Amino acid sequence: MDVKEYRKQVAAEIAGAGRDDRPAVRPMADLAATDDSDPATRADSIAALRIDPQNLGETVPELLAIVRDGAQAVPVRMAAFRVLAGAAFLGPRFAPFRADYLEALREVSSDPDARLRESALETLAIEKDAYAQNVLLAGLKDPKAALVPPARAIQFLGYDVHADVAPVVRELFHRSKGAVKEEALRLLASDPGSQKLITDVMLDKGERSAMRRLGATALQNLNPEAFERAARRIVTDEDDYDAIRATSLAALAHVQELGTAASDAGFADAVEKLKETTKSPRLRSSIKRFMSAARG
Amino acid sequence: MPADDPVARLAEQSPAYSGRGSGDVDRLRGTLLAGFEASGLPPGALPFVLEELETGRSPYAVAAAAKGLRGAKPIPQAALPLLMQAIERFRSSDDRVGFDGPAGADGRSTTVLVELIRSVAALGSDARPALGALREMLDGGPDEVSAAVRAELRKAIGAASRSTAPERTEGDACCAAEAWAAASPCCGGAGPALPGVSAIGDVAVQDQDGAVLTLAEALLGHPSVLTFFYTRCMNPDKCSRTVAKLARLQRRLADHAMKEGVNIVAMTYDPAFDQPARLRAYGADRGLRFGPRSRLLRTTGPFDAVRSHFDLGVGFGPVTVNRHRLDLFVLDSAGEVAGCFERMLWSEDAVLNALDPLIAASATRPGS
Repeated sequence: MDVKEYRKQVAAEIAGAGRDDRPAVRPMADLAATDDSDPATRADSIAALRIDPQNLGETVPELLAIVRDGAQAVPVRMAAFRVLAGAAFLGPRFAPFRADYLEALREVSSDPDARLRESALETLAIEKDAYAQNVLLAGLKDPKAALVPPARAIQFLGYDVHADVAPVVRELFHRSKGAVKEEALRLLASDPGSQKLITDVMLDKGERSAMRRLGATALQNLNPEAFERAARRIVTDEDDYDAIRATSLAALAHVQELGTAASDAGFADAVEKLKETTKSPRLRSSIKRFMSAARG
Repeated sequence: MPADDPVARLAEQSPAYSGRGSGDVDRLRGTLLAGFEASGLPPGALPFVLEELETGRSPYAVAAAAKGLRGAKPIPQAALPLLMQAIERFRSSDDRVGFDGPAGADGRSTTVLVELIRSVAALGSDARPALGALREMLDGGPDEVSAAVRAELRKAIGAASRSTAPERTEGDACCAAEAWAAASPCCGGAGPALPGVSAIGDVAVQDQDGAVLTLAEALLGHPSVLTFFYTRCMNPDKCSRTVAKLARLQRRLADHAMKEGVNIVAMTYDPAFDQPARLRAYGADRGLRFGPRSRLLRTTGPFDAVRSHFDLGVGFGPVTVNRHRLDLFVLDSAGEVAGCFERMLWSEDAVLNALDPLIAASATRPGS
């Protein structure tokens, strides 16, 4: 291809990239006036709104009014919420509206509709909003005050280590099960004060393997030496599951390969002897890898 | 100072904040600061206000500081560049705050930008140097600032315009340091009467490579720069910036071939979380080069002895630090405190100036 022709082609592509071929969007005022539309149609219209960074002053206040308006159908309010959440990524362009936006979210965080409450609280929690953190924590302490399910509350509070909720979540961990317990463990993964709890989970043969893996990852991040000690215990415990022994040994092999393993005389010998007693292909593979790393 | 003195209650290490979360501490201190608007700002509270304006990230705390500043009679002009810095910092992240009632959804009647601009307006003609920046914000139009902020900008421009003082187009934070120096005996390198490091020399510490040593081994024998941080600090102008500046200080000392003669040490407030690998990554990411004279340290036991020895401005919540000020110490070869920089951002030039006589003394020492 001729260079000049190629240049023209690229220039045309660049010029075309700025074009928006979507259908022209109806002004916000028109949408608001269409009261006879069914909620699904209105929600679709709002979702299709093209946010013009040059013209947020017309769009954002209307959308905020819709989000706040309890008389509007929830799908319409959720559509407006999603469009606003996208607009918030415009940074400085959205700056004039940010304070009102966050305030609207705080109001909606106690809305009768669960989806709106959860969406508002999640967005506020990502902003590390103190108001949201307080209401989420209040809900964990008193289920009657909860605005979202406890597993979600813990997840949202985990976005900010300075929400300082580890003591409450630790207590919740001990009296919960399922998703709540799992989210609690995730949150506690960065809390040195929970190291014993995390180690116990990793070593607990009665615990689900997903939880033990979560515990192992958390401990490795929190205290690599404590992780190595716990992993060695698992590997040499013949009453533990082969799968988790294999995973633990693979992790120790990796540390060995990095050259950062803490010394433990005799462990390599114990691992070598495992070859004679185990039939698990995964464990045998991990043994081979570890011995290769240990021998350097 | 009595513990119930409001200025004493602003201190990070106040027992009132022990065990409380960061959010609680922000709210309690903010309530105190905001209250000074009506009761008058005690001189001892000015450093806390200026600090919040310089590096604060909490909309509530910064708005409270702006309100508290208006209780000063007169408001120091040196606060102007810090107010303008705070305005720039919150320009894209304005938020509603409330001081008049319970902190519920209906109790937030103002915003952090509104309060900051009101304080600029309260300076009156002393705010004239900021006219250019204020006009630039207003001229950005409705797509740049909210209607409420535009209204305050117009008032501030009106107030500042009633003056014959020269107008500048850029903020200049130099004079803030003077206001700070007037407010605190510690600024600029004149050390308070703190005991030397020898008193806690046998505290065991571990560095970023896992090596265990004593504080005496880390700090004695050469002049030292000692500062504090923690990797979970969420304020980019505090800990992250501190370690990055330490790295720049290290390079400047190297330029003068003095790096081997000065210890550059930062200790974490959070030794349980800040394990060696974390310390190494944090320092390396900020350009710090490690060696026998340059380390990031954690205590292998409790941090309390170090904290109380240096009377550090740090408080602890249920999980980690709930609030801290900036603290940097310049020590001589014997570990005695020769200077300290507290609360406000320290300049590398000022730290080097404090080090110079110590380096000279160390160079002429027999055996050096």
